[in-house]
Amino acid sequence: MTTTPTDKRIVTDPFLLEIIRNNLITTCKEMGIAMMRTSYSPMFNEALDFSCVVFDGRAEMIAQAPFIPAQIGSTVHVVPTAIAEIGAENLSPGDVIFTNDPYRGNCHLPEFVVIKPYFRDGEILAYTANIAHMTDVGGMVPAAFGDHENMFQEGIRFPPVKIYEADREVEAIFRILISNVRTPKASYGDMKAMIGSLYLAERRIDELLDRYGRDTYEQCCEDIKNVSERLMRAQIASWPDGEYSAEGQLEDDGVVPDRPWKIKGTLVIRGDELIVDFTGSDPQCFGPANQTFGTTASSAYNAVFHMLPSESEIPYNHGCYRAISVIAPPGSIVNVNYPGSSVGGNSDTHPTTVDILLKAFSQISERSSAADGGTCGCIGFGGDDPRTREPYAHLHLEGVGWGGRNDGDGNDAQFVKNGNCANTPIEVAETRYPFLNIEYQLEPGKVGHGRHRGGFGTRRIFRFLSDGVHISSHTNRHRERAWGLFGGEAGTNTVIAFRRKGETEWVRAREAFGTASYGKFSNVVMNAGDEMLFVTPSGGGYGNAFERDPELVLVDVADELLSAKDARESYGVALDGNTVDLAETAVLRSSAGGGGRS
Amino acid sequence: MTLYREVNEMPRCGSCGKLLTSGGIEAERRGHAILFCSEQCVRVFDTYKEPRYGDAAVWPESIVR
Repeated sequence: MTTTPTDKRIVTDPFLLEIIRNNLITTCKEMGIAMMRTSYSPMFNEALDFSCVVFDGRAEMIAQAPFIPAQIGSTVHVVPTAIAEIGAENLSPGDVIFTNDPYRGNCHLPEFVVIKPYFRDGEILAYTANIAHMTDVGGMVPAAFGDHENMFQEGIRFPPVKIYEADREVEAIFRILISNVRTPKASYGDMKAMIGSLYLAERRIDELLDRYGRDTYEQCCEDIKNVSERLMRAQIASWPDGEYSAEGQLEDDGVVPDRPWKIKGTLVIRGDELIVDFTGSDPQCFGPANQTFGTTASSAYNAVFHMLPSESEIPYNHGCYRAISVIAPPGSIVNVNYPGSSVGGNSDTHPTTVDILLKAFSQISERSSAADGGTCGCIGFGGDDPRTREPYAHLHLEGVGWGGRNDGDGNDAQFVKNGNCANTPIEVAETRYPFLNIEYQLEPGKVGHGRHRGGFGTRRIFRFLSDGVHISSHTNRHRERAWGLFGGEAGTNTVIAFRRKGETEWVRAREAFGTASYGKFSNVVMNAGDEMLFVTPSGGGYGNAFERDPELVLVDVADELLSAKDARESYGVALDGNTVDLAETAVLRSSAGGGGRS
Repeated sequence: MTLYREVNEMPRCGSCGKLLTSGGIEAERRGHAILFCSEQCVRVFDTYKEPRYGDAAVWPESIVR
């Protein structure tokens, strides 16, 4: 059944359409390069936690590049919301809108959004936008992630305001902003880098219009979206009509000990239309694990895009989103009400929500994957750096193991599905901040076994070089593990633990500091010589481990990721030195029930 | 300065739940005037949400009159 036929005719010559579409995508990429090269914070120039997008004059997205899925999905909502609230009729050339309000379509408070209207002949023909994760936003902890109970504790909030007027800074906004964060110089520089990328994009759009003219450009904007909508609807129509539900839970909210929080997602496929219904999810939690509407919508788009065939060439823009509707009940964990906290909803709840939707998709497609580590590994460090005598704030991100999938193992030590962030290189972190990395490696032996195993997490030990290092965390999977799929086994847990100088035992946060949660806490204090252990979770396995290619098991043993004992007990693979003992392997696997492992 | 309205004084779309800071489509449903963010959301409400959830389809945050 086709419920919403797309009869929008594509007018532009297809070759020209591709040229202009790719020109706009390249503009987004160029914005990102400018941002990376001119920003001050490692969060931007190393972790690359930002996204650059172009919208048309209707405030509908026409181009993005492979930046951060969570951010890009939320721009679909925060950009038009901010423009509508200010009023397009109140914008002039040289204006820039700024907001970080989590309730207005944004992901969470640390995501700063800047939007610049592009004028030609007195009319707005495009908006260029940049959404980026600001390291520090004030609030009760350095770098924003902890066990907040409301938005006021998270930091400073800006509803949509003009931060530039007629190409000049609105000084009052900048002064209020930088006087409320721990890193004023870096924050000012980072904001200027964001805004600079908008000016760069404006020049590129100017060149595009000079070359092709306004009429062609405007027709292309419509056709770009219509092509994507047509392709996305065709993809959805290829899935069987029906309703497919799945549930999962967050282990805690950082405030109420041991209280899990349920998320329920139902995929409703009706012809070429998809409704993602989160009715049945728990009420909003007391801590920062709530998702904003922007985060929830973004997680729905993210899950759908993960299900597209690898050969899919659907351009990601507003046309894709037209085919997907979201239902997120207000006041629930998937649509937080003011003044609920939401900073961790974007970092940890988003990837969990994606995995829940992928579990629902597994009812209709083997392309779905097992769950991943479900946390961005957000740990904030802050204090006064004795070398500079200035406050510092650093947000540490860490890769996790991804879930096994139908065509391969889960990725090792990769940032979770909501982002494409990189970790900050040890050399950069140690140059800028007063701590050392004593150890950093894949965590061997711990993984969700399966025909395609999950990816491995990491193990890292920090040693602090100064007193009074304030550490805060919003991390997940300390108790809940990434689930396996189609008979694959669950992944392994996160561990954060501390060790005072001279001591030998690692102690977790609840026992060491009396926090409500092992992974969500604020401002525990470490001193010079103290150490912190951080082990990230592995991904779930996909399929029966006893069906895994024995040669792949051998490779993992050779790489010292698994032991010969693991190979035998978890995979039914017997090794003889550097080779697989095929005869004994056959015996082991048949004795386990004809290739099945209970 | 124009009167500042905090977000908890603003309605949510009756179908998707998005905050509506300005504009919206008002429609009469189940005895209430409900605000929606788009025609698409009105359609989803009428063809899926309301038939499935009945009175529970109407969120208090979406009622404007």
